[in-house]
Amino acid sequence: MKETLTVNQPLANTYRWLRSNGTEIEPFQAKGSLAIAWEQDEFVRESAVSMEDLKTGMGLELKRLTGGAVPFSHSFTAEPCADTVLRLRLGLNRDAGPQHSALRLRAETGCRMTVVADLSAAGGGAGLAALQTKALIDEGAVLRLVLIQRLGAEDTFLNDLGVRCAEGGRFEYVRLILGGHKTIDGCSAALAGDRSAFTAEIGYRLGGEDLLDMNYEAVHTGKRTECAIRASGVLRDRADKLFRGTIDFRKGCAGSVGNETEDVLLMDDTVRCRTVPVILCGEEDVEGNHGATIGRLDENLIYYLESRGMAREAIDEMCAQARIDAVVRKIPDPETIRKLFPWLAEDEEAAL
Amino acid sequence: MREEKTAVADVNRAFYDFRYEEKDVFKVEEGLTPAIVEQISREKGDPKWMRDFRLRSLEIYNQMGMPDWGPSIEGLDMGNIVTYVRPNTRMSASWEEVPQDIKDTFERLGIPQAERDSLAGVGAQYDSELVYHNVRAEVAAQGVVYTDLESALHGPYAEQIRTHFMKLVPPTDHKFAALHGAVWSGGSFVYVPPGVSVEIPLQSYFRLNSPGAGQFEHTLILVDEGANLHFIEGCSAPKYNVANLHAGCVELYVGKNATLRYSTIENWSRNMYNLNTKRARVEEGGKVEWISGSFGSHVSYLYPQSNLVGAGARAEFTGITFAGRDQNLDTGCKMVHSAPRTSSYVNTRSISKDGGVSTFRSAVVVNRQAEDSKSSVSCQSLMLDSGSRSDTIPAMDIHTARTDIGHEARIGRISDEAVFYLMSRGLSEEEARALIVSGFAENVSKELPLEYAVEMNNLIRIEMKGSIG
Repeated sequence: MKETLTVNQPLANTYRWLRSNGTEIEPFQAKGSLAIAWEQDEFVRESAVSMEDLKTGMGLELKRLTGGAVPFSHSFTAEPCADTVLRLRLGLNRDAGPQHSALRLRAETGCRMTVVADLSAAGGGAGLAALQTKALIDEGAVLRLVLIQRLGAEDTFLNDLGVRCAEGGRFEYVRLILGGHKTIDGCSAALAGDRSAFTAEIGYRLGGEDLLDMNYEAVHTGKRTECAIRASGVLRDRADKLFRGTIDFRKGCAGSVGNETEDVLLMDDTVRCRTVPVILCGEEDVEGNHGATIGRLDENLIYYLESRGMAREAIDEMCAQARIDAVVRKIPDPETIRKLFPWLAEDEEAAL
Repeated sequence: MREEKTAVADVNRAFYDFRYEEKDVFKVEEGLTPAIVEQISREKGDPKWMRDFRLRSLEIYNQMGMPDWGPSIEGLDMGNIVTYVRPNTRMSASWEEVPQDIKDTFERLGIPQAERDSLAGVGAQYDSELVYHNVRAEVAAQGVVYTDLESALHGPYAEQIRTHFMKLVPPTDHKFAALHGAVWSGGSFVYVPPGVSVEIPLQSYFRLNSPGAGQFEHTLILVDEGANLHFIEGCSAPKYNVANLHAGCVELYVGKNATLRYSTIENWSRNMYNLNTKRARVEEGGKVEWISGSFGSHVSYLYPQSNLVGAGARAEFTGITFAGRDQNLDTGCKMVHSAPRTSSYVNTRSISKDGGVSTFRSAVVVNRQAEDSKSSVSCQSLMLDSGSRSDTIPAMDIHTARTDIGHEARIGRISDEAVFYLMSRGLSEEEARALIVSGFAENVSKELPLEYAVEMNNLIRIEMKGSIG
């Protein structure tokens, strides 16, 4: 029997029979690294930072997944009080076997660091890649991380993220999943400093036999910390999605607020949608909310648009695209939007 | 610095925390062996199929692992639990024939009075056996059957029992369902014929008096087509320094266009491990309503499940859980939609204080054939101090696009503004908080018959006594 590892284990389990307490995956032998090209300005330096103790959403060190091989690590640090943008192009070469890479980011005191990572693939067949990102956000700093995934219908991608915020630090994450046969996505944000904050805007569009398995957690230990996790997506064909979102208010995080929402549009009767939105609370003086809306297009909306001459297929496509566009608009880099989503840039220019 | 809360007075549970010396009781040995299971079966005069069923259940129990996803039950050692305790009396249909101490027990709990005032029938269980069972003549005249399960095993309903017993909750469901299958004793069988509406409730009350004992009653209710029933169950036990165990089982069959309301006020003592399993199967057009108040036990695993198997079937779950000191109450519900146009509605509240742990755990499953189904889940949690915990762990598993699912949950504390407003109207802070908490529990109390709503509000008031911030 092949060895498997359990990843994406939530902080609190649900009923065993739902089979949502973690996901089993087979380790693989990594053959090389993702191709990473970047554009940086003078406020970003490449410097190694140790982040070994940082917990990630998948819950495992990457080398355990990749046969013990330590991934090549790219480290970037933004200087204090800088306002800087780092653009990364991540390339998965399907012909080069399984690939893995590590990314280390550090936003020093008071800076605003925007990192836009665009993952795509080339070559034939099915690609397999793993990326682990860890980030430290110092006092008063803001890290805005965008990860756009544009993979093919046979590719597998394991994306693991761990972040820690110091006092007043802020982490803003935009995650777009626009392709890929199997995606395992984990994110753990430790709001250790008082008044630190974490927001996650997640958009996904799955079809065919796609599988998306997510585990997002916000751990509040500092006082007056905030988190907002919003996931919005579309499922078609035989797509299978599991979203686990946990807001964990630990004792001592008085004055903290956490919100979590998921909004899923189901387009076909053959999809599977699992949602486990969890709030764990060991502190009295907090406010936690979560909500989920799952279902089909509103019949009244369909009727209205059909009465205006739109075909049903066009309505479905428009509404599905609108879900993704809403998340794309959250990308804090107009240049990326212009390059990758020109129709949105055209809309804005037309509006002007 | 915020003023620390004053010490919260422990719950004054003297009303329930009384006990009688065990006299002339029959008990099996502590522990769980095939010999003990066979002894229970002999004592109860089981038919052969039931004896074989018990022994198979024991095998399943021994093969299954403990649950690893909920509260710890490390303090429960089955080697120390006595699974069968029989008081020295037979079941009677008259309170006058019930032994004095047992009768006094139920008098203190108000059961005979409630029966006289407002119930269609009562079953009273003391330790492992029913000691009293009666149904009003006019209700029996409608064809309603309300009898103890052991009698039903041998009488005209034997085949119905065999057809339904532990089919909704098979022994393979989980370890404590298997335990129940092996050592069950007591409980009731109810049958309501087609079209019959039982206008006033039937009630079962379970009292566990013996220290270190387990209670494993089985309730089986069949509500036939177009019929209507409200069934209430209550429970309590005196507190001991050793663990007691409750692993009962409730199986409800709601027929086509029938309605069953199942209300529970659970008030076990704080040494009780309450590992109860409840499940309903609802046919076309039928409706099951669960009303659940959980106030007792040391550890609880309680998740009534509704299987909506007929088109248009509906389920509602309204619940409140109050976890105080030394309590870890893991409660919630499960809704399984397996037919078109089914709907489920969940509205729960939970309160934790004084180091108590309250967990809301739910599952909504919508299978592929459940097109045009709807489900709405709302859960609100209130924490009264920082020593307590409140967790919400809902889950949804949807297999069709033609459905509408909504879920919301909130966790927080009593609003300072609300307390200030009430105090400005002349209430003390303690009164204001108690009033807010009672209002918080209103979703359940308004669904209960008045006497039970009063009991529930009294329990809340007792829990809140001395609690000021």
